[in-house]
Amino acid sequence: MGNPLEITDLVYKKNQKKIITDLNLTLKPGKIVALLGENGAGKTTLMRIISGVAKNYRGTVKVASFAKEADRKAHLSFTDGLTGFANSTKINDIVKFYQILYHDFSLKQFEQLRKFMNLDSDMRLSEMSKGMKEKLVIALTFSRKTDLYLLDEPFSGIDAMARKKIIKSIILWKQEKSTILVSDHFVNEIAAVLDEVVIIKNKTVCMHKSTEAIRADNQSVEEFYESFYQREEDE
Amino acid sequence: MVMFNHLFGKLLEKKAKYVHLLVVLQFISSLASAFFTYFSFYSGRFHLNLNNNLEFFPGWMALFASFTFLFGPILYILTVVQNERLNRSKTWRLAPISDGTFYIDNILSSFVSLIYFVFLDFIIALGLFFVSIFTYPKFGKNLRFELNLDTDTFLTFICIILLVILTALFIYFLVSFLNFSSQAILSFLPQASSHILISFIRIFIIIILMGLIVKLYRVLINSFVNLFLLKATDLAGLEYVVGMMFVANLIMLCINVFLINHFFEAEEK
Repeated sequence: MGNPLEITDLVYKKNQKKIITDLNLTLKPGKIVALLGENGAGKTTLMRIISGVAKNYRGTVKVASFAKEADRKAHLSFTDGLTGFANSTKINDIVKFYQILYHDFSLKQFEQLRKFMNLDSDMRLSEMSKGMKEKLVIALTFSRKTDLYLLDEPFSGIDAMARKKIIKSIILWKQEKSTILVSDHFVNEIAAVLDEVVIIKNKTVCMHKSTEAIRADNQSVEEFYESFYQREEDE
Repeated sequence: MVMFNHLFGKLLEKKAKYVHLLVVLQFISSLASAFFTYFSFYSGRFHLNLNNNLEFFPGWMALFASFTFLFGPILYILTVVQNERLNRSKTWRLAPISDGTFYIDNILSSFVSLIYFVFLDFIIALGLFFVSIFTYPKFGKNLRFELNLDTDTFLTFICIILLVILTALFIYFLVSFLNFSSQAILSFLPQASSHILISFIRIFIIIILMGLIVKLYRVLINSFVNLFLLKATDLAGLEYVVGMMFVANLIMLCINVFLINHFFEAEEK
């Protein structure tokens, strides 16, 4: 297996507006990487391109050395809003859907995660709060054994206590060689588990640094992120 | 191929829910219609209307069969809408299969759900038919089947069936084409701030695309059908129309697969 993610010269334009320009990014196996940037910086778009649901881009995107979209989708697990299911769908039915469509889906892993998240498998989507749905999405995403996990603001609706618990446990759920790319606004909360930080600004990756290097400069990830924007503003 | 089959199974399972719902509704509404045709309520009780030529069960069977022409198109419209929803759904588009193959799977499962509906209707109508024969022996005795199958009639019948199938598929493809192409064109235009404006532009694009398709169709009709009419008899003409429809479907399918593979994005949620 090659690198879980390799992006070369990526350009994406929509509605006559450049959203991503000349973006290059390579992630090594076994890392937890934060994708940071302001609202509208292109974090979600980047994840959509990687997963093949956004179209008409230029450049090369490879997931576990696979460039074809179907292969990429088979080697990554992307948080999904579950909008393809009717509100009356039970968790059990969603699990059956995942089991049939994804050969790497582990029911055993899902059951552990479901119990961890305090979710009842007979619950319907309509009976779940936003936070509960997000917990379910996280459980489904991590029940697949893939090379790359894409988590797009996965904790926004989850209460602070549960969020901390989930973030601490993420490292236990992923495969040793798998890489997680997570975009989130709670930088300080995810900082403890991060290996690398990628900052998107001016439509491209303008910083890719290990948290080790950041801490070596006597800075926390959050301070580094804030000071990065401060520096940019001062300049 | 394994993924194609798995996805097909899941899509069909989703669409079969509509089929079951509509068959139940058709059954209940035909029963209710039959009931109110054969019974009237006055003086506090139900009375059997004896002035009908048909007995209750044969009447119910006839009503059920005729309701197929109401519920069939309803199911068809529902599948058209559902096709486009699924084409746009991130949940479904994340399935590890190419988008073009997903699209073919989606359309095929809708088509099979229509066949499944016809099959269920046929089975229920057949059940009512046998109940009619057992309850009213006179009904069975009076039945006479005459099957006059010469080659020409048989070929015409097959051609008409094929034409209906190809037309149903063509409408699926046409709706997808308008959806995909209008969305693709919209994403090339500068961003509009208002949803109403976007909808208005989309409708405008669809009207223009429809105009282009009609124009293209006329050109094709003039160049091809006239040529065929010179050569062919009435029956041969129908065969050629089926052939042309098949080619048109194939072209539309290729265009749609190209559009979904390269331009039509899944929703952002």
